[in-house]
Amino acid sequence: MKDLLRLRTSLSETIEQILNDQIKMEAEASAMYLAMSSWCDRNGFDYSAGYFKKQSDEEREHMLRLFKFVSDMGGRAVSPSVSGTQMEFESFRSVFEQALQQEIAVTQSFNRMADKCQKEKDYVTFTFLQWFLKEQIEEEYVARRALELFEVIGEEGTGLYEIDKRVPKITYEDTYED
Amino acid sequence: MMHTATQLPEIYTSEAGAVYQCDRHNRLMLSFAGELTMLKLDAFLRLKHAVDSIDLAAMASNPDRSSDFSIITLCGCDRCFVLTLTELHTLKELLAGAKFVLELNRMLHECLAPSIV
Repeated sequence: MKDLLRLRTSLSETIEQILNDQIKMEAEASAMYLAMSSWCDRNGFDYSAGYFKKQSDEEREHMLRLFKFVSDMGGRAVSPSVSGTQMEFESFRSVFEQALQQEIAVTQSFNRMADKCQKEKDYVTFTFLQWFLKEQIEEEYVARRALELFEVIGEEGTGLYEIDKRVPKITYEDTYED
Repeated sequence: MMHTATQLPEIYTSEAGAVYQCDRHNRLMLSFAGELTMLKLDAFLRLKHAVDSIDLAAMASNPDRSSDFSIITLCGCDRCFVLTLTELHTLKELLAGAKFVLELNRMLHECLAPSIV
């Protein structure tokens, strides 16, 4: 009797499902960053609007990377529906707080995926996930640093204006010297 | 020409019905409530997922007349399932049994594959 479960793909049903869940999460993150970009734009934070637009593009790229992997492995990649994206935020600071929270949630999600891959002995997907795990170090760093600007510069006077200007300049150095 | 269900390898049988596998067409055949339904593996998994996600306890405790039935429509399947609570319960059991045997078959293939090569 043929093995129908593996006739089209080596991905197990569980792994295909968690990859599709992650595709959805990345799409939602992309939509959320775009909404943040819009909020910043509407409230005069020009530089941060550009920063969040770039972040939104990055999240979409992550989504497509996952999407391609599922398709390449013969799985069924699902184009996700995204609705109910939050459009309003309490303050400029709360936007960055939410961005950091989102990045931490994504890191935790990739950790759970890696754990699941090990349990299922799916080392192909596990190896594929390494790129994302590494990427999350940078994503979290940038989000955390942006939020820290509120403490370092302060929100009084022209503080918010200075923070806005500094946000796009945050870079992550992947060396131990810096 | 398609085999008749009785000639096909049987995956799982219960009192409510049976699931067969057609190796020639890579399809599963579900015999349930007096009807035969051909399903691709994808559709079979979607059907199982749809049935599993129905809360039978909530259906049973709901006094509405409409809660006595559940309608399941699937992409990739031309049959619309209109099922009572009892039928849902038996179908759930049948699909779970069939899925278990498919997984078992997969494990056997994995174990035996190196010795074939």
